[in-house]
Amino acid sequence: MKKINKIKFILPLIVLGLSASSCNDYLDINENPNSGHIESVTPALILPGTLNELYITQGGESTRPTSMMTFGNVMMNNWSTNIHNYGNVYGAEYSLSGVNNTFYTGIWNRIYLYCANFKLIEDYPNANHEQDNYVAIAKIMKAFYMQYIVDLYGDAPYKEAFLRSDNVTPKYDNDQDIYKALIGELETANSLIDAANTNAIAASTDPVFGGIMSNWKAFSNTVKLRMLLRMSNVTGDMAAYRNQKLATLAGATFINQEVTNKPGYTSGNNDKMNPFVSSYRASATGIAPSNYQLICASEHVANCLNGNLMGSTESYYTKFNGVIDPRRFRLFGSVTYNTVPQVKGIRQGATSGQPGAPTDNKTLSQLAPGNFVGSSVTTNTATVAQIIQFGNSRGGVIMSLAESKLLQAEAAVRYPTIFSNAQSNFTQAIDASGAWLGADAIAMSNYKAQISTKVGLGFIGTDTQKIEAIMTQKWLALINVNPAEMYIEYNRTGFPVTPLAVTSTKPNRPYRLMYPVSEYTANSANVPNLSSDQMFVKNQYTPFWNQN
Amino acid sequence: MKKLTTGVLALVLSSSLVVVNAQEMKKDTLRTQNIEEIVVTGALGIKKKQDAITGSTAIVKTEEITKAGNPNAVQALTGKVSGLQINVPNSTVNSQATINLRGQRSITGDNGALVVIDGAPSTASILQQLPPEVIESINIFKGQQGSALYGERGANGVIVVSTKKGSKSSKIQFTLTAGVDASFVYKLPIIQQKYGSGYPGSTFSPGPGEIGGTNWVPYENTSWGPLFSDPAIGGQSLIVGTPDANGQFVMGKYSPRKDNIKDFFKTGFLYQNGLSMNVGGDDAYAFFSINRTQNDFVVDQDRLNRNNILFKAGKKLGNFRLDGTFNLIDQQTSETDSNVYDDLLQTPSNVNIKDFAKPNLEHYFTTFADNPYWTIPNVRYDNKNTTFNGILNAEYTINDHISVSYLGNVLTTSALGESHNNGFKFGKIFVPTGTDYDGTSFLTYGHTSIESNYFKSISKRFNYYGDLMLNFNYPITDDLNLKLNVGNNIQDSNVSTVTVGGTNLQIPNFYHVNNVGSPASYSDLQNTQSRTRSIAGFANLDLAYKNYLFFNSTFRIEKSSVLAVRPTYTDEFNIKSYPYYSFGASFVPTKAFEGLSGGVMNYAKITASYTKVGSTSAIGAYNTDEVTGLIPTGFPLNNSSFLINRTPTNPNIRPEFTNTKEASLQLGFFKDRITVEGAIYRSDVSDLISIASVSNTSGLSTLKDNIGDANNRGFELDLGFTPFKSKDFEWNIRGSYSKYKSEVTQLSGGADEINLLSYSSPAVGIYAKTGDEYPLIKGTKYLRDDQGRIIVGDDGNPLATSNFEVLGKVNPDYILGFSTSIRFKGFKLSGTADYRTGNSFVSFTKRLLGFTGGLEKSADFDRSQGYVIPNSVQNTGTAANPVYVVNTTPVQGSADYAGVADYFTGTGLYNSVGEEFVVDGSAFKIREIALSYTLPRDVLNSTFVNSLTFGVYARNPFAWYAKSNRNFADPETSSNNGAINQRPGQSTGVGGANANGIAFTGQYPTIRTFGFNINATF
Repeated sequence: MKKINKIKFILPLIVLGLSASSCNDYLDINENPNSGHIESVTPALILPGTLNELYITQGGESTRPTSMMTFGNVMMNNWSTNIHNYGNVYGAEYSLSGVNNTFYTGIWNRIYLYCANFKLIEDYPNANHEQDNYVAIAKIMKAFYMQYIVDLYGDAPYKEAFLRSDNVTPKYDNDQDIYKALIGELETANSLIDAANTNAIAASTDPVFGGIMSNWKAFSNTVKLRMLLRMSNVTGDMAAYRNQKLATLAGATFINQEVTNKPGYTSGNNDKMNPFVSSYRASATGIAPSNYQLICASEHVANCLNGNLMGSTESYYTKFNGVIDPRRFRLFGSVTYNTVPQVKGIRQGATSGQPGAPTDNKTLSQLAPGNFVGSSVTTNTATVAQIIQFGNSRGGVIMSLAESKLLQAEAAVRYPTIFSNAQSNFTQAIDASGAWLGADAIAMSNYKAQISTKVGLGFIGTDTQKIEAIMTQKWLALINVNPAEMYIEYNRTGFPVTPLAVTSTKPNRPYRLMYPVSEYTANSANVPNLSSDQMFVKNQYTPFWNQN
Repeated sequence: MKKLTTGVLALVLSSSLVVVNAQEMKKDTLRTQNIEEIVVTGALGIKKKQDAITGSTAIVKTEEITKAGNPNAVQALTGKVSGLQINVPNSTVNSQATINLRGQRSITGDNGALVVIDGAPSTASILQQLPPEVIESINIFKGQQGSALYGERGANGVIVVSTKKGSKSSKIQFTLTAGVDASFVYKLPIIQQKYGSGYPGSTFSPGPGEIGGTNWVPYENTSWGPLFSDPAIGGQSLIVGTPDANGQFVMGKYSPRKDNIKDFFKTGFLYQNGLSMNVGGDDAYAFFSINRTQNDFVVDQDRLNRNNILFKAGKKLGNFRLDGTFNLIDQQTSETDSNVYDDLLQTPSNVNIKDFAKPNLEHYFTTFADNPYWTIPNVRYDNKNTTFNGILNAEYTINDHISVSYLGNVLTTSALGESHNNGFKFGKIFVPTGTDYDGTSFLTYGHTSIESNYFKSISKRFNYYGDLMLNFNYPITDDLNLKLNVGNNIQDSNVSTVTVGGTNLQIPNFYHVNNVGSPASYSDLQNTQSRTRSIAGFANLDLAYKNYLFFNSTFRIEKSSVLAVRPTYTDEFNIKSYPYYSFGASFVPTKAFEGLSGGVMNYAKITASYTKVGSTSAIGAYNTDEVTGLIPTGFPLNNSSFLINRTPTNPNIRPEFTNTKEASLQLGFFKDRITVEGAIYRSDVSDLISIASVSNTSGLSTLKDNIGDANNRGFELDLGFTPFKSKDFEWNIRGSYSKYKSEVTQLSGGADEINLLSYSSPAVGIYAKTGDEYPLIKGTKYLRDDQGRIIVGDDGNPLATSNFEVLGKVNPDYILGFSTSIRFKGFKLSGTADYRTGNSFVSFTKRLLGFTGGLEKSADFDRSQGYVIPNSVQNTGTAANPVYVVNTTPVQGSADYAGVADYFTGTGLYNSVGEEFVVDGSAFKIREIALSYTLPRDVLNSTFVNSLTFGVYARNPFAWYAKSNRNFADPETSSNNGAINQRPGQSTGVGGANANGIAFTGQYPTIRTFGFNINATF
């Protein structure tokens, strides 16, 4: 028995010895060799990728539910489906019965997921103000994209958002408070830029303005103006707040160029392409994606661009009578139908053979090269190689110059004591749109002359009619550029009047989107419970600026 | 003590098939063996007598695995062991089975049983590459007590595989096995035979024009055309598909062909050959085996070749004993993209697919799908895997009571994967044909070109496993014996994978990264290494009181590198260790009380055990190390960029702990002519790990964390009956019943369910929900009135819930297993079958057939009159006070063919309601039938041949599915392997390892096999 005891004593020693002596060194191998550590990532490394991912949501279609470009173009009745060859596309958008918690969920999800990276920039150690420029850019861009969250969803998490694993069920904030906080962020950004701390490193990886901070300040002012104009219909406290903040913009500089994301797109492979080009027109090797094949002009947009060729009697068409838009074949391909070259579309919701989808000529107007090459190639027959080359080099539009100008025009119409030059801003916006698409300059001049007498299309008439004209021109300018912005403006102003798809089951378009299913499964304690029907009427769930 | 004669199949253990299989080896003298004294190899190679085993086990011997010629030893276990569920989630040339014991315990982690081969942990994949005939036995420890010694890997039971060992005879014995079998596709989805290709509103000229509200279209992939029985078109010879390069058309009769896509599949052939050599002596042995398997699949050019070399040898030198195993497996597969099946399913029943059997994409029956005959030679996935497994086992006996042993195992796998797609640019204008085709090309119909690509991936895995053990064996008193094993274990696993490739091949058919015009971004390619290590101390205690009362206890304390954490990356790592332990007892009353065993009952054994084990399988290497997770799309561009890891793990995550209580009972009657066994168990899982979706507003999309508790409970019952038993004739019948339930009992953070996978069209998802079994199928449901009638809207379309409701569950209510064997002299006939019911799956094939109009349901009414949802009602009252009247409004409010087609093809209509696509997964399957004949010895006396056996067999010869499953899919194939992405270096699954329940269209149909084999020793 002695022996056993001895062994009983030795054994644990062996086991422990093996475990203890070598254990910690032996097991200390859990350092990830496949990814960089989060503490080592500087704002300069975070900014370009964050902006690009957000632009992919705004201007591309990585998957359909993430795409503000597809969402806006279909909801604004710009795009329709080549229903002669494709079944099963955009049914939910047309019928509006599918506007539920699975409808374009990616807009919400991706804006939040990537805006969290702006928070990472803001939180980077910056006691010596080295990162001031990056922090300012992060705040401006966060305000820009988070505005879309409020405009499309109303109340949303903000104060408790972006805390990652520290809070995975953020509370919802009142949408008014988010707007105020975002405007505060823009003002903070401006003061960081104004302070111009000598320690601050240049934002050399900035893919938008190449680190030119005066441009960022002008853009910041423009975003602020956009937010304040969104509140044009509010009353009470918020109206006072709006007026007070509008006053701070008196004499401010607004952005006077296209705000584009240019991280250095190449045709190296599809991922390196401008997402607008690769999603809708051509892969890096020039192969057309199915989107290009299935998307065509809608009958509505075709009729407006063709100068009411259909001879419709609705007032929203008659104002286009005889006004052939010189941008039409820059936006959508030319199809000769009944001997007339025109934009040929499909009525949203029609099936093959039904009215609005005749089968005697199944050729339809697809997305035209002008959207991609702009003024680099002014013929309507740019090659795919040119589309890829120029589409990549000019980058993707975050905010178009035309939008900035039309915001200034509207500000001058609505608040003439603070802002001025409504007419010239309006004209410059049309010029900017024509230039972006590469439309013929002479034709654009003629167009401007032609519309000058058209109420609701040119800058003429009452303020309301001018607002209708501004919105109609904004609609035209934002087709294939930033149509989701137009959808929000349409909800605010009701202009331009836009018919619903023939399969629509609702009397109007939704005033907001449903919170995505991910919120109902993962943040159910906080997400407001609203029904599908509540999105189609104005109520407490409508974004605050549109509740009356 | 009972003695059994050899050659007798007896059900001794829980559903085990103990074949005391020595019959052919010796002369006709009957060997005897005490069955309770069969020595079972358990965890860490510790051998015990059956009586001393304190949990449920089953032993499957080589003959049971090999008799039906199955090249896959795991698949050959199907239906043979209660509580063991083998699923084959994909039907390919290299179908891999999953092994599950007693259901799910983890949501995120692996629920597959641990596979141990010759004492060293291995993988299910390697077991499936091992030739079944080199396997001596497979011991299945169903409960956790048998696997508790494996600690963090012991949560799912263990399958202990022993390969054949050399004989004790010094005469060299050779065994030759050869088998060939033929396989055929079976159970193709049933496609309606009433309507042919076409679409309402479409036009084609020349053609007969509109018939019955629709149009015949020669290039349609949808069966929304006129009735075959319409005299205006039925039976006429019409254009099928697009013209060939000369403008010539395939002409075909407008009438249905039964199983018209069956012709696409060929007869598959599987060849298996093996030669083994066996020699030994009192203190040494050697076994050598070489095997080759070649499988030509039912899809042309899909092929598998496998070579296996196994060498084992051992020698005893005084007190020192050395055993070595060397195993080399080399496997090559070549497959095409299984999505060709999706393309095939779209074929209208009037089309003869063989008419387009040339690899020409622009000459096909439709402009909307890709010609699979082009895909086969042009889209290939080629994989080569080489596995080397070396085991050294050394034991030194210090004295009668003490020995020290070491088992060291090196397992390396190198894998080389290559894939290419030759790509194709459409655009050839059809030459003048005098039809509407003129001037058009595939592009006109919206077809997009196919991008060429090439990818190559190399991965290498190196695992080391080492056990050092001190073994004690002391009789404490005359009646009480103590066995103790104390030891140390280290494990080291190292994997690295590198992938290169991209799109846009510059020179056709040259597959090299230098030929890739658009290299994929690095972030899109694998370039990873991962290493995990663990270290553990363990002890195993066995106490035996006389020969009828046994007690076992195990203890293991383990530290794993995956649990190493540090506050920031400059700090030291800190690793927590976790203890795992078990207790079990068995009692054999028939031995304790001699009087008991004399009568009707000859054997009884009772066991009970408690086990606490853990699992870290859900926590991967480096999960707890906070890093940037994401390279943004396309980067680096002008600058590099890194973003937040959106799918992190809580650094303080703990292993999942499983606390299991188990009891079993075994009874033998009439000298084991009747055996009854039962086992009951309950596992409580705490600290369940899940990759939970979190609010994206936090900046994360998922967080891996301990999220709650679950339990898993069930029971098994096995009955064995031997109505006849004599020297020349014996008949055995066995049946088993297994039932288990896995249920989440509590979730943290107020959530009541976890979404594992979801789809919007149809709106379904796989969930784990508190209080329900998981995996659970949820989705939208038709709104129904109180009589169960579907409520439709004003437009006649069914209304559906917007919330996801429970639609079914993935696991069966129970599994019944049957098997029987009859031996008459040299003839042996056996069969295995099983029945599963109560399970459901989501069929994407049904969705596709709904869209194409191939679904029977879309044709069991007159389409020209519109489709009124059967048994539907409309609400004529208000929402608050509904009044339901029988509905007469057709879908889309349109009493014509176009309304029907719109409804079935439109987004958000037919294809959106989840309930519609949940199919009853009940199935009764005959798994195996085998007949063999062994030549009598005297016939062979004058030859060098010692024994000779011939066999014929069938695998999966017959299957019956539930009525609602119109052969949409084999319910077993519902898996998470949905995104068919066979690109090397990429994982193929979506939704995590346990999101089963979805049957995708990229799954080939079931295969049935008939074959012949021969086995000779000399």
